[in-house]
Amino acid sequence: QGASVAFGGLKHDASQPVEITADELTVDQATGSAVFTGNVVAGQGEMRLSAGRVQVQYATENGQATGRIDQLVATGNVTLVNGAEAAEAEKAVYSVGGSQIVMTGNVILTQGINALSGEKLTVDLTSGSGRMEGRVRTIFQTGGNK
Amino acid sequence: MARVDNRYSRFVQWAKIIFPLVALGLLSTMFLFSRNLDPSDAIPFAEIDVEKIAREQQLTAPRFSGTTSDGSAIVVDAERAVPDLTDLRRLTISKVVARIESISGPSYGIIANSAVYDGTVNTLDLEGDVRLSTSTGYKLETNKLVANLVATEITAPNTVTGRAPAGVLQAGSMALTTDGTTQVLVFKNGVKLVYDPKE
Repeated sequence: QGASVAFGGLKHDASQPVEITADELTVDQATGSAVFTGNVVAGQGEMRLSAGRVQVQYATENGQATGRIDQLVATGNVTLVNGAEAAEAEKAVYSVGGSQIVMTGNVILTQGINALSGEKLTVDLTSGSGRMEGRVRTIFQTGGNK
Repeated sequence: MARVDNRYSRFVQWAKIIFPLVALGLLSTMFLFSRNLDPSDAIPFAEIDVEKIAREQQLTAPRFSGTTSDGSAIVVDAERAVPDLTDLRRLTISKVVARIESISGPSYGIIANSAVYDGTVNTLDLEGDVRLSTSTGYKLETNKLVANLVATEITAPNTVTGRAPAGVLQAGSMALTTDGTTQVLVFKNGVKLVYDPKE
């Protein structure tokens, strides 16, 4: 079953520049595939995606790899922070063009004091909505009237 | 000669005398007014400091070429090469253009102000506004670059800035190594890539 959540209500502009910082970048000159390793942080506008390893996949037009980035595949304790929300998972695929992030592998989403965990979280950055699937468990802090 | 009375014949008579004289005069100017020859500008010669060239062994516009262990061809062009007096296998070369073309992989072009070619260890240390451009779309600038002429290996120890296919790139250092067949470009100690989707 699944639950839809608001994620980073503010509108995220997918055309902003993406800045990737890391300790190391390895580029295979034959295939052109680029891999950032060592506390990688990919940021775009308000959103920050940090991970141990990020692989850049370029959009290919008729087999030729163009300069445009199609997807960032982040692995290794991935955390995604966007405004007040933070999400952690084992793996995240951020398709820059479609401005959508799919996080898989015991995802934990914290919004303020509420927490939500599941197997897969799909976040649409432009509409600011997210969908959590797979053994969704929520923890509400009920306190506050002490 | 019969007396003549009409004007035309008199005119012809005078013409028969004057015209040859004028012709003779014209002909003589060919030899009398010759141009004065200036012996000093006979052969224009270059004003190069001959002693300097004789004293300093110097190669102008040298070109080295060779192939590395994995078969990629290296061609190094320069404006001037001056051998190091202490070790003749070391050459200091200026205005360097080096090209490395590997058979399967991409090709690299390096431009630098000066370089030191060391024949014993077969390396080329390029310095001064070094620009590296690869056929895979990387255009990088740094101030020092060491190219190993035996194996295809390029290392830039200092900060490297420039453009990658995806966007503007900045890194602490860079190294191009060949592991097996594929050539791998590695940027180390701090990398920052800014990708602009609008581009």
